[in-house]
Amino acid sequence: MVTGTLGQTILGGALIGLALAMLTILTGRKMSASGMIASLLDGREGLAAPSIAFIAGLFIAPSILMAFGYAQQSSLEPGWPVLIVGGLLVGIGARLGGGSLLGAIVGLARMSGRALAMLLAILAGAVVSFVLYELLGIGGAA
Amino acid sequence: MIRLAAFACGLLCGIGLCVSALFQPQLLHRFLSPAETWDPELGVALVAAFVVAVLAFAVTRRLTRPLLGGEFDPLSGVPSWKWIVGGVLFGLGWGLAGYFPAAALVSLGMFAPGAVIFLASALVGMVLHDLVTKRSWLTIMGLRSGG
Repeated sequence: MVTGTLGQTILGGALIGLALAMLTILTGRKMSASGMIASLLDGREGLAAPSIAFIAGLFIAPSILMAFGYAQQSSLEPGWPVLIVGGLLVGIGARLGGGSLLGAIVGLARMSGRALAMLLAILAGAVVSFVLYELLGIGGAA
Repeated sequence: MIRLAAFACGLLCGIGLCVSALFQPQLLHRFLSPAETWDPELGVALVAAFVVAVLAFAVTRRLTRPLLGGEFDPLSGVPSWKWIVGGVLFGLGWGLAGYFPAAALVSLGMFAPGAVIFLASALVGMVLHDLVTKRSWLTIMGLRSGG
């Protein structure tokens, strides 16, 4: 636990699970961030859509925490070439697979076979990426 | 009301990402690193999210409709190779950049410059996918419905 305590990790994870489950229970939406962005891109929803509201909530969260005096660690990012390639792959993959990491976690909680397939595929891809990173020294999120 | 609920859920999810540090791009590599640098943080946070979601859905399993009205999004659909290929591509990108979309959106809220690059690239990736799958530009730009 380099970046936080075990308690913080469990609490934070629990909040994420609660938030995404409540999103489905309250509004029927199962989407996470990538699906929300995709639905905006589709033009299926206007600017006042729930997707915008969800994304705005994610965006504002760090500021709210800081306003209440929570000492926020900043994001340690890899170099921009890696971010560009990674972003492209994530965008294509999220659209093709119709899901994302958190979406798959919550889908799995509803016993969705699709979510299980997505999650295993995502983890497999991540492991391949990591191995490439280790072998070739590319990537920078170490 | 639905918008307010979506905002509150986004906020809660974002706070969870901050508190658990799940937004940090280097967590994935720490989780996958063998030996002395191994850090289970990513796995712990995701399992906690999963367990709480299971409990929340168990408590509300008798619901036939969302509490605020409408319909539940359908769960699975017909099994497709796209799930696997899409998932692997997503995982490759995540493994490289360390960001997944929600993490990048939270980092954007901290004005992290890399999150802008990542999200812009992800948007380009989504548009590329839509182009290749024969949707018209107009549909993609949201200027025309259908497609």
